[in-house]
Amino acid sequence: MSTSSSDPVIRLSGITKVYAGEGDAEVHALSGISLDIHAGEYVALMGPSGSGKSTLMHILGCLDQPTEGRYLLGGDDVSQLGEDQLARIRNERIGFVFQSFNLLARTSAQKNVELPLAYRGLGLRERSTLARTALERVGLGDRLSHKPSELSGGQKQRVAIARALVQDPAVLLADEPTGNLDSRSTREILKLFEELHREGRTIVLVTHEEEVGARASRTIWLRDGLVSDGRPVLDDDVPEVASV
Amino acid sequence: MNVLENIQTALSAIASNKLRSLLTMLGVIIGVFAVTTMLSLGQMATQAITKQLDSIGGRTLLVQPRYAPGRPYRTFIADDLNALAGLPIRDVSSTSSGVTAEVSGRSANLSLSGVKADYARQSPDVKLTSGRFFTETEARGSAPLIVLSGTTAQKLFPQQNPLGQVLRISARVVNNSGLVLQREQVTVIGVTQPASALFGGGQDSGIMPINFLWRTFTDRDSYDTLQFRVDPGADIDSVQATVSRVLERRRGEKNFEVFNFDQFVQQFSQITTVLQILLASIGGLSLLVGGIGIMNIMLVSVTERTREIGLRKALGARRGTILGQFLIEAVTLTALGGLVGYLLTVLTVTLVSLAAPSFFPQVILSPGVALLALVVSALTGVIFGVWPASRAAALPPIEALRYE
Ligand SMILES: Nc1ncnc2c1ncn2[C@@H]1O[C@H](COP(=O)(O)OP(=O)(O)O)[C@@H](O)[C@H]1O
Ligand SMILES: [Mg+2]
Repeated sequence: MSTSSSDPVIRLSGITKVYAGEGDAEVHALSGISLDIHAGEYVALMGPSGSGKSTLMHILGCLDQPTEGRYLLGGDDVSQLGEDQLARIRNERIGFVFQSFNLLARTSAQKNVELPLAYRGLGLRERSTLARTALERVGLGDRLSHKPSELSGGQKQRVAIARALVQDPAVLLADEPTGNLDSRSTREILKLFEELHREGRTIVLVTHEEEVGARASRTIWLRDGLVSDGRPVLDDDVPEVASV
Repeated sequence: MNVLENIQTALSAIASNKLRSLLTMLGVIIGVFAVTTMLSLGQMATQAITKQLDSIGGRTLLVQPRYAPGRPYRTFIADDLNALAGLPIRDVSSTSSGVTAEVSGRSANLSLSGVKADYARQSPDVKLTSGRFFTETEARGSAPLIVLSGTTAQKLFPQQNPLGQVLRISARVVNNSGLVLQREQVTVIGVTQPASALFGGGQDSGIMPINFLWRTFTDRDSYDTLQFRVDPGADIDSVQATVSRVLERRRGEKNFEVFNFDQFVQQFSQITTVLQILLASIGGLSLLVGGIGIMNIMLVSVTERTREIGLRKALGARRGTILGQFLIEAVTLTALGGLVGYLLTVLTVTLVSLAAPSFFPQVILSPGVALLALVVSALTGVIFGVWPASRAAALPPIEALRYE
């Protein structure tokens, strides 16, 4: 693994996440995660279902707060930030790609991609130009005014990726982005992530695809809320069923 | 994301849910409609009556005999007027009689007013649409000349010029030989604008010299009512008291009433104000119901769109941004309802004025009422939208995203 001498984009130390379960049963989704991710890395996050991958991604994406531990994003401690400051970080420094696309229905691809820029306060014209460039980048330059209902699963996910790219984020986070896709679309989307990696993007991707693990610059294995050293047994390592 | 974009988003959400939006807005539509219609009609009626009373003369005294059971009903006579001659008033008294008017197979029951020679000069508000009034000389000579009201002329002489036509009028009168039918022929010399229904304009009427009526249909020198214009500068209340005192002495008892029109104006505006308040509060009630409807639908909308809210937050929307979005949506909905309600009011008020021009001669749509409609409906949106909106805004992003 190529270690850079510069500061990491992401530094986690002692991150835990405890969910209050029913009664006294607490769920320790993460039990002390420490890791660094450097600029330009392409990290595959793998592990069996329920091992805490999504929980970790949500914390990385500032969508959720850890119970304990420190999270430095580009050197800033985000565990201490308030609601509005976190919103700003999500807007400017994080691009999140969901398994279930999460596009606004009845809204064109272009307008969907413009959304984070609108929250950034950019003017209409600037938004439009940037959104179009991002959609062209993911190969959807001819689908600008299509609504999500008029797009295939793979196309929807590419709109979602364009929406993350348009933010020009410090890190691109994708939680099982191919979980809802057929194998052909899966290959296309994974190829897109590889290209983005080659262009210098920092990417953390949750996946079950063996080949991604192979092509990623690093694979992090999670098991029972901990980073595991070796490759765990594969018995329960099945893809999650799409929820939507 | 600016306000305009939020309004656009809200409008397209409303457009994609037309039926639901309409049903939601209905309460606000009805509320705004009720409030603004009542206020406008109230204003119109008040203005109409004030104008008419003003034109009759705000400073007018009216004396009417009072009917007491078992006592003879006594009208006033010329000597009563003479007794009041020293007061700062001008006499514009008239007498009236109900007659039947006939011409070539058509007939009408006319309320005939006998007026003094200087009537035309004293009543600049009575407008002729054609012809002329009788001259003072004609009036003094009790000429058989009549000025008809517009509607009556139309009725008796459809599709022909009433001027110069001869009308047969008749009425039963009591004279020395008992009840007899008195017949006369009179010539139409003028037509007036139709009078307001508020002052008997709905009835067929005509104006003739008082001397003619005295000679034919009514007791000589008698008046049903006395009417005076109080001179400018004179104190109307003290004049009224004096008139009352003088007449009481002459008649031996207080078997009459003295009114002034200011009292009518005041009473009328009190009545309309009470009515307006009453009806406007009913409108307010339906606004309340409408507002609760808005709140309900906004709560549903927030629940339905929980994941959307989560996504927006994931992309950088702050609490205030989401609050603003949902508030603007609620306000857009209610303001639209207010607009529709107000347009219905404009339509209704116009139709009412067309249907009853004598009660509502002029359409009044004051900017104040329009502003009120807008402010009230928008405020309804704010008041009833703020709770659902703040619920939406308070959702933590990850929980909203996980919502199913
Ligand atoms: N909101 C929550 N409340 C309670 N427990 C949760 C919640 N989210 C996740 N968990 C639990 O945390 C553990 C890790 O979940 P998750 O991060 O979704 O795993 P993965 O994405 O690797 O499948 C699981 O045991 C899951 O049941
Ligand atoms: Mg998961």
